[in-house]
Amino acid sequence: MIYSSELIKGTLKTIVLKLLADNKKMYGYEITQKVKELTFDKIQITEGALYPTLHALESDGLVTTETEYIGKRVRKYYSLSPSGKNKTKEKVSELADFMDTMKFLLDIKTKTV
Amino acid sequence: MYRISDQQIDFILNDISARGVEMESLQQNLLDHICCIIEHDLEENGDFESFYQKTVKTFYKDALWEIEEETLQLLIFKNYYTMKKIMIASGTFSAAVMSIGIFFKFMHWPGASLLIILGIAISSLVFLPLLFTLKSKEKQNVKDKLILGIGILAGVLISLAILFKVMHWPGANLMGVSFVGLMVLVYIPVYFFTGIKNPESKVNTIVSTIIMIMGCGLFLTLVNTRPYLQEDSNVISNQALQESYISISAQVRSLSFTAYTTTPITEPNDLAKNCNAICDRIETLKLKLINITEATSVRNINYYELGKLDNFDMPTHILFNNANNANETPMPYSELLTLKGDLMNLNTIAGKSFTTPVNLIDLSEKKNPRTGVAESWEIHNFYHAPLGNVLRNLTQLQINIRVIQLLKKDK
Repeated sequence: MIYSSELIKGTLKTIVLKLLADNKKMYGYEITQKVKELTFDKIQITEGALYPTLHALESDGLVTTETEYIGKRVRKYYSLSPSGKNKTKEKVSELADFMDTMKFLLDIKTKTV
Repeated sequence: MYRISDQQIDFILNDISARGVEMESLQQNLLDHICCIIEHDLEENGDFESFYQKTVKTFYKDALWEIEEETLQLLIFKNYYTMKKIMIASGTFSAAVMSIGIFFKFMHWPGASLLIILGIAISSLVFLPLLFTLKSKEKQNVKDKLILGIGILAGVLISLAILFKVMHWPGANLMGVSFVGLMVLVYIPVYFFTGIKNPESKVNTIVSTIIMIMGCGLFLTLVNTRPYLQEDSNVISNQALQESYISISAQVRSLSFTAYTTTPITEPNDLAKNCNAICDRIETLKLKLINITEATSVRNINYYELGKLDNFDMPTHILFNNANNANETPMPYSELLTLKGDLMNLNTIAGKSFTTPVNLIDLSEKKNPRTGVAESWEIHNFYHAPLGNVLRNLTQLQINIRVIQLLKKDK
């Protein structure tokens, strides 16, 4: 099952921030592959959603970028800024709290994995 | 694993920008992303072109620029596109209105001023500020934003300066000088030294810097130097004439050949009384012209205090009936016609008093030096003439009348 893009949209910032917190620096393609790998292909981030989010995070000052030349092309690595690190904790705990609330609201029985 | 050649990288980059993605950092991101996919998923001898087309299609629903639109939306603000539309609409509208206005002005059609004011006002108060707001959000570093801001400010200053100059509103010269100062001292140096560092834009930077300096020089010559010189000579010659008139009037009065009465003329055949009355009436007319044009209420004329001697429109509006319509012959108001009648009468009386005719008050038609067409006395002296010239002609007339009065006394 692949989750709908509507569900992913609201959580994409949190996903990207958390990945960067765990992996120090990543580039766009790497992020999409990592998410695919960690979720067993259940979450596939589209390019159309990822890059606008990365640019927004950059302009908010939550991530910093460094460029690297791969032959003729430029690769942009993203990593967390100090304020991004705080924001990640905030976002992750907010989402955890949100999921608890959703479980309660939708009356979902917790499955044992 | 497929190896991508430099030509293929150029091909992809060109295709991305051809598909409407303009932001450089986004182009680079997409390029790297596509290259990664191709390198990972395409076999060594696979078909690059068709694989690329297939891959890029998975990036969007309808078109690739959706990604940029989405980015800008997140990056800038929600009403970005509304503002952009308003900016383009206001820019087009003001340019069109201004061009039509200038055409009207050339043809002397009514409404020209309104169109020009509207055009300049919209372009400098709506279009340029919006342009700044939108463009500055796209610029990444502070320096670029600063250059843009100064450039826009200079643009606003010059258009307002021209508007104020055309409308004879106060502050035009100050704005013009600020514009030139801002350009020469701040904008051009910053622009020049930023552009010269980049080898690609080096030649362009030098050429446009030279053009900008030339433009500023021309503007300074046109708007500031000339009017200052003109106004100065206007003030000095007008004031000198006025002082001559005052002293000659005092001379006439001290000889006191007649009671110094004013309008109306009770004895149409008395030369002295006629002269006194007409001189006073002209003085009143001069004060009226000055007070309306300058929006003041002075009772004595001091040319050094006047700021609008170069005003072209007001005197014509005050003295002529259809001053704005070029197709009809301008009709002087009764004020000017009465004056002309009285002067003709004065000539007749003076003619009887002297054995040799005096031609001090010449009311005959004169050729317009520019068009070569003969014009009546009132058109030649007062129509479409700046306030300074009108006043000078009137004072000259007063002096000539006083001279006749003195000549009569000598005789």
